[in-house]
Amino acid sequence: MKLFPVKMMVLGDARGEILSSDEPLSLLGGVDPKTGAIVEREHPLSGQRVAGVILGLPHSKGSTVGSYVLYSLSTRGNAPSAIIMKKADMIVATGCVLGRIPMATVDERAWKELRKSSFGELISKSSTLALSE
Amino acid sequence: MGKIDEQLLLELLRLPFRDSGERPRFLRIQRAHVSGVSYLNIGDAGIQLLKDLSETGARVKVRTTLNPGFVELSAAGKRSCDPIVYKKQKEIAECFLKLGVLPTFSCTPHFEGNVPRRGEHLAWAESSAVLYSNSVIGAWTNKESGMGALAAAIMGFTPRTGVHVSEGRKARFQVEYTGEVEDEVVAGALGYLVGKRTGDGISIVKSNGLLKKETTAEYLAALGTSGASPMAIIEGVTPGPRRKTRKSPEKAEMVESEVRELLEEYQTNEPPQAILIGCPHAVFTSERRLLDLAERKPKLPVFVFVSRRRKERLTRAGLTRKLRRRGISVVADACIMWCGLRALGYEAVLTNSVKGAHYLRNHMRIDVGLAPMSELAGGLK
Repeated sequence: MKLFPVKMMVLGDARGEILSSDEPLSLLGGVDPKTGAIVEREHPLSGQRVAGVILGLPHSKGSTVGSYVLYSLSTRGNAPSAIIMKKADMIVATGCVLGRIPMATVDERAWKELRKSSFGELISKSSTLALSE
Repeated sequence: MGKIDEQLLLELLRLPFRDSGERPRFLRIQRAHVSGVSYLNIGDAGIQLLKDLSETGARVKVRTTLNPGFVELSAAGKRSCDPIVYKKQKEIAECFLKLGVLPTFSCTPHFEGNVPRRGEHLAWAESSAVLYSNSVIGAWTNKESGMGALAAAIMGFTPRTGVHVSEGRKARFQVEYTGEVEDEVVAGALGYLVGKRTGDGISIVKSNGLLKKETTAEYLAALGTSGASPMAIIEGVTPGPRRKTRKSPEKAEMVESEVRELLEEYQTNEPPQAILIGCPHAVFTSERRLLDLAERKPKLPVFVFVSRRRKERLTRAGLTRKLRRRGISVVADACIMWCGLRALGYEAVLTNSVKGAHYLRNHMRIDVGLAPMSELAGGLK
């Protein structure tokens, strides 16, 4: 396990499998707001589900309505357990507050490690992300 | 999952400080204006959130107005739209009413319904209204998301960041443009290019063609379409301190040929089927101009998008029916991205708004041509 400092945008802990991509994802239109399936066809993660995973994205793209999609996922229990981003993105951050999804941003070094990792733990109190392969 | 409560809304307002690491500071707001109203934009996920929020009993604390939606909420509107879409839009409107938001359905609250005074702090969504309020009226507001504006309206305060602070209101870019701005369409094209070039930075521009209220408004609306800045300074229009730029502003050179190229991109492949006026809402198309247009018997059906109050006034004066007989329909409550365009099956339209053209093309997949009001009115195209 390697430890990295993070900036907590939305407080909360998470532990689990990591799903990540260097390709930004449009939440509106790119993710099914009911099931959490990634439906954006050209996206490398297309066909996977965001439910319960620690989702790593550089930033989002597209409509501000993306916030509502995160909320909708959360009410159905299909939200990611946490979202880790390279850049603080207000669309995602707003959705994470509303859906009570922990969210943090990381620096380039931590991002590179996250891309290689399959399991992680976000510890809000110490602003730490633990990663392992 | 827990309910939405004030603690959660406060957390939303704290987000900018979590990012910057600064100590959270807030400002009382005098007014709010919320977007995220159209069913076309917010969909079922948005309805769910608004319902949950309105059921908590939360109410706005300041005068708060509402952006237009996708549908005209009247008997006529019901006939011109898909019944399910109509029902969904009505549900959205009811949620906002429950929250205490005034059902103005207007994207020009700064002209009617929620007119800010210079120096007032606001929490406004709707980019064109944000840009006009900061840059022309001299009120202070960041460009909020619909949810950001609503959270501020319920709490009564907003984060003290961005253009709520004097230093945040100085131009980073000096726009250099030597071409003429002959009409509102050229003003829009210039604004679109400036927004694209300057991103979230404030720009300053000097052009005699931008001094008229109508060209000012079109310039700012288009700038807000391609850019993220809440403010764009126009010399001779924007009030405020004498020094309006940062110490050494970057040059942003705009070339006349690029403006022409952008306008040439907006020509329809097929003959246009209708003329759309009013993005932002047609506040400059006075009763006089509407009647002039009617006199000239336009060759295509014309749709004019206005606020609910404006349509009520036109109807009381007998003008809605009179115009209708000449092929000019006045549409209230809705934005130019209106459900009726789908119901009528339009595939190619004309407008004088660069902002409208951009969204009609990219969001509703309608082929759009641009021409100034003077040419549209003549039915030349």
